[in-house]
Amino acid sequence: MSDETLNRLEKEAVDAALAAASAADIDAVETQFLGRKGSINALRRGIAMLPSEDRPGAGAAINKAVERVQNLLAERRAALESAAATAAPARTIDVTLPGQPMNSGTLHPLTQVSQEVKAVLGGMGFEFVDGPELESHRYNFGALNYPDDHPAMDEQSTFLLDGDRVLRTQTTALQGRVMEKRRPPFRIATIGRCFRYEAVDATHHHTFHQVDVFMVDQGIGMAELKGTLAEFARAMFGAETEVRFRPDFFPFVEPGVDYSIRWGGRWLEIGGAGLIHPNILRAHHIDTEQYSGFAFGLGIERIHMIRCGVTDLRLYLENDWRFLQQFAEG
Amino acid sequence: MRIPVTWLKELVPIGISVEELAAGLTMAGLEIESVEPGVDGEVLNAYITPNRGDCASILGVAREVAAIWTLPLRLPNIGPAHAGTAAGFQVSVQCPELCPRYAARLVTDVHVGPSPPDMQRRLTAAGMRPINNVVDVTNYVMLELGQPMHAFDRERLAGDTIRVRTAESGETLETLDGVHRSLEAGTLLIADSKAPIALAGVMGGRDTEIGPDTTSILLESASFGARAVRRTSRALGLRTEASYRFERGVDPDGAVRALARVCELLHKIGAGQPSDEMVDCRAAASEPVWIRFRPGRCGSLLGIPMDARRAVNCMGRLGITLRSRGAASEAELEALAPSWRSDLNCEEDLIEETGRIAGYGEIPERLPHGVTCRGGDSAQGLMLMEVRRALQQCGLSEVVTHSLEAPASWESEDESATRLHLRNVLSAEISTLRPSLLQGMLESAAANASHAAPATAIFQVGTVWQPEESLRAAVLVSGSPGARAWDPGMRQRPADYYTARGAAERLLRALRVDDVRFVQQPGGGGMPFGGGLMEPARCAELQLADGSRVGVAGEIQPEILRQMGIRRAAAAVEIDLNALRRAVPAAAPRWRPVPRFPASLRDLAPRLPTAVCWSQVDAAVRQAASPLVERFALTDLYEGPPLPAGVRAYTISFTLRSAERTLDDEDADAEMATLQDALQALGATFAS
Repeated sequence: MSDETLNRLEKEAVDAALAAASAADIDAVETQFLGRKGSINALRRGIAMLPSEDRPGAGAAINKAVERVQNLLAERRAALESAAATAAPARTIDVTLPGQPMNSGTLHPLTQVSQEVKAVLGGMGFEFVDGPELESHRYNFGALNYPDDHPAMDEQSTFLLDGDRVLRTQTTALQGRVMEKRRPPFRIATIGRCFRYEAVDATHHHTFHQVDVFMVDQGIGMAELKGTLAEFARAMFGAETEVRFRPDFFPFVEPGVDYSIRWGGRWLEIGGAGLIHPNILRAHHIDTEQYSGFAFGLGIERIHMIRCGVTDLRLYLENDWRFLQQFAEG
Repeated sequence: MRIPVTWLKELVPIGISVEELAAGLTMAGLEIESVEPGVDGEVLNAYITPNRGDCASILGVAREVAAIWTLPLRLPNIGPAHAGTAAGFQVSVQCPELCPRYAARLVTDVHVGPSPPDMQRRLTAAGMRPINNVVDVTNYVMLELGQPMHAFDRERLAGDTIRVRTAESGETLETLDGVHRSLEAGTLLIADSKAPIALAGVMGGRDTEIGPDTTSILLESASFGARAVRRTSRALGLRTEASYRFERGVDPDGAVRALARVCELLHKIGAGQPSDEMVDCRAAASEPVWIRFRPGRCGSLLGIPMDARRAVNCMGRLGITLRSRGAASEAELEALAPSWRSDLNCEEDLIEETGRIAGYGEIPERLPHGVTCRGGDSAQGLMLMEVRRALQQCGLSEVVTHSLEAPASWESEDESATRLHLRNVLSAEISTLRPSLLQGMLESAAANASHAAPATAIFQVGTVWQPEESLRAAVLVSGSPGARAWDPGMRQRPADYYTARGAAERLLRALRVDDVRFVQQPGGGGMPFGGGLMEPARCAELQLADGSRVGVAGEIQPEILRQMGIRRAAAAVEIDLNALRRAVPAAAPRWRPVPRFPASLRDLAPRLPTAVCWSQVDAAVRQAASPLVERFALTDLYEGPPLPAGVRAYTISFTLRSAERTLDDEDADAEMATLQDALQALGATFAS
């Protein structure tokens, strides 16, 4: 090996590196000169033939040449990359095109409202329970103090199945099931589907959803009912909401009221309420001298209709994507 | 009930405007739904709750007005009611428990003709059609006093005895509306010596109807039991003004007074000459029921400050009699409801009355205090919400479809027969309870496709009956939401089995159920209905480790899609959440230390006969893998030239890692050799 050979190869490598126009060219230069079988490295094989005193100097000379070429290649590589980055008009994109679709689904507005109702009532200590939609006549009516053969039954046209079973007409049907198992005090709520055999129009449906809320404790009266309802209504409809009671009749409460909320300057009737009828408490061996309770219910659809101004109840079960999409925030 | 205001004002001196009157009545519980103009001034349209039959008359509403505004009541001027047996007929009440009172009176020299114009106008205003002077007078008095009455043509009655009895089986009656009705045994009816002449409290018979030639009439004014009347009315599907009132309770003490009022009016308008005497057949009067009433409880239950004096005042305005109970003070009283208020039976009923009269506007708002429970959603509710969130995060949108549906056109008769059918429904579209969520979802998909929806990607959580009630979650995907993206690289694959399975896997992961197998069944999905919709060769049953079935995933049969009018391929999942819930771990997931050493990534590319399915490959790898195999995944699958037919080429990518040290090449090579042997045992070959 001679110094000339090394110098010539180094010069060739430097020229080739300076001539490289792409990262691939640089790679090729690196392989040609510095690779395992590269020409500069090949010089190392000649070292063994040198006198022993010359060997370290020759090795060092090769190493320095390799280092210089490597540094140059790295510089060239960086220069080519930055040049490509700054001067590449072909890589400009149309930033105004739409992005890749990242689809998120939506929750049904009835689910959105139900979740809100659960959060509000849960925060007030009401525990949610679930009951069957196909219910016995006894829980739907008898256990709720509906007298046999009474016109009160006509208020709720009922879907009948074989045997003693009905599709529940009200989530209140759960009260009897709960009172069989619990001793007061308790605060219970349930949300679910109800059915009434009615002609369908913009404000009536044979299928709808209802939240039913009830509690039994000492010292529960109409004031506690009104306070709870008002708090609930303010959470659902806004801090300025007022609640008003009007006498009404439901067999399972006494006194019974319907209640309205003041919304947009008008009174809107939204549900039934009252103090749990003493006959029901006594039937479950709850001492009515010591305990009393209240119950109230309202439609989930109704809450959404009021808040969003929806005027047709039927939309909630039609699943028209043009309707559901409007409530995509959930 | 329609209440002409001028008529009401005859009974109570109302000094306020009709608007105030309507608002006040509504707020006291008698809801005035509308105020309509009429020929004689405004008419109130009142909704009467089922417990307040007493309000189904002008007198009843006048009583409410008098109580609310503290006004005097002016009862109509009614002549004396004579008692005794009228010459020529008797009344025999054979079931006094169903008819505690039956009064009757003869009217002779009857001249049937139109009633006076004033009376006709009032009847019309109150919503009744004038017929003739006799019928109009009974209707007029029914509207005025609330007592339904009936007039029989005396000449057409057989014999001298009116019998109040129950029907025997096989008896029939042609009612005034011209319908021949066969009567259920036990129906309460009025009969003469030969045959039934009226359905008690519901409608009279055709044979004894008042006609132009009628010269004498027998007037009936009775108290029929509410349940007996309701049973007749419901059994025959016949609702009348009379049955409406009897079902809700008619003042038992008003029958005779109303009869006297009818006679007086008939006489006054020259329609006939009432006999002096009247038959009054009544059961022994029951003991008055005094109800305990503690004014102090009004305050605690109503929240309205209510001392005894105020409570007593409210009671008095409603005609409720109070007396002190023994020697006790006014803290404990006894109350007797007036005869027309059969709805007042317990102390709470009376408390409601004091509140109604005092006004519910006075009720303050107080939050309950005392023991507070841990509130919040039920375990089931929380799980359903996890399911919803998981599916929503897959890009699926929630729908809520009907529980009631018609059996599907693709069902066999046997399948339809296992559905729960509603007993009293006439319309086929809502005749059965759904056994699967998917039918309604397919209908939604079809409807939305007709509304140019870009794709269907929906889920639902709801109840089905099979025939037991259970909770299901279902997914339906048809078309792909990204199908029309401008860049082909953004487009998603069309819906197929693997789309459905992906959604199912996402749901299972959200519930941390990791041991569900997807098993192909020779006959298709075993889950009835949901599985029956799917192509047997392109669906799978979801099974828990114990082999129990929890759901089905697959592609909807093209024939069903064609019938539904859905043009794009569709895939679906249906999962029984009650069954799945048993496999949901109760405990929170335990953590594993985060790896500290680097992983080695290696691939294997076995070629296997297509008869070998992925689950076999998966099982072989799992069995052979040492703990160094952190995870592995199928990253490529190829079938087709240049491979021979019946062979598939897999690429399986392995992540190898040790918790103790950095793996070197020898470790990785040894592991891969073991795995390769295991695959060779399955019949795999490897390209060299």
